[in-house]
Amino acid sequence: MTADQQVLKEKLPDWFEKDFFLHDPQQRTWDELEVGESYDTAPFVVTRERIEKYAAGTEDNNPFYLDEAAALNSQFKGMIAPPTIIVPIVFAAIRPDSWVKMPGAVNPGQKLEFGVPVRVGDLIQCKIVLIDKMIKRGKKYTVARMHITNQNDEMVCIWTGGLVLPK
Amino acid sequence: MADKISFDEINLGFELPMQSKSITQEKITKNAEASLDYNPIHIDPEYAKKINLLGKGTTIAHGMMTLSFMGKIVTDWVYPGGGFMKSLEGKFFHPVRPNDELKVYAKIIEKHPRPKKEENFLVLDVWCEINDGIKVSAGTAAVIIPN
Repeated sequence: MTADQQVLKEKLPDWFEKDFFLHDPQQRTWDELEVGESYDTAPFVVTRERIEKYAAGTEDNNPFYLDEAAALNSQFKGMIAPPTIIVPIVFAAIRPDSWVKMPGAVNPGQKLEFGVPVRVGDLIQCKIVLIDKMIKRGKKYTVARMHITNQNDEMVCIWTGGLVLPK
Repeated sequence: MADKISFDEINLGFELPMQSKSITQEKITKNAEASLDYNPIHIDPEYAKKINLLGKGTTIAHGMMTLSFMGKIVTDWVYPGGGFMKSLEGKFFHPVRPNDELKVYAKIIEKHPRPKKEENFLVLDVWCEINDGIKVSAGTAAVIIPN
């Protein structure tokens, strides 16, 4: 890791909003979503700060995420991010009026298929397509597939999953 | 460095050491900031009460927080052992709430030898229970064991 990467400051997209209620009135309902539609996302540059914050927030202090000396001597030949670091990357990338951020939506399960690990300084892109929607036991489900790649066009993760929407 | 895991020496049924987590609102909120998922169902007790979320009206932990714990029990074993995470999936069928004691379990259930040893992989059942053994999530992890 270079000195530049060490001090790299995180920049969230201008549209990023912590208050998920603000865009709730613009949320489309499950009925309005069309299988096959895709979503605009913002690229995300991974910072050391985000990896450290994520490791702390998930109580996962693996030395390969946090200790350069330990990581250099590993199969990864340098520090990596935890595999599920794609969660903040996707939440940074997705617009605030996406159903992914609908207040009251509940997570029924997800599948993550990993490629190369994420590292500090990576520029991550997400391509997201709604691949299914269904009613099951009276509940409204969405299913998306997200192709998450890095600056070298290497596959970082294929994330398949969705939410149970409240409207 | 820890000893490398040897694919040939792995036995089906091998269980990783159980891990436990005390869930609190403070930790859920910290995870919201870490993961940028600020859905009010996780961080806003008033809202959870108002909509009587999942019948109990409390906030719930992020499913992805539970999935990260399901990943951690595996990477804590496989990373020092020289392996790689290939996939991780989980279904969340019971909410995890503040003040729950979460226990995470993992057990090797499949061995997949390949002609190239760097493609050898294992599949583990991974699941979580709260309190008196109520299963809250279950799924699998696949890990590459190249040695």
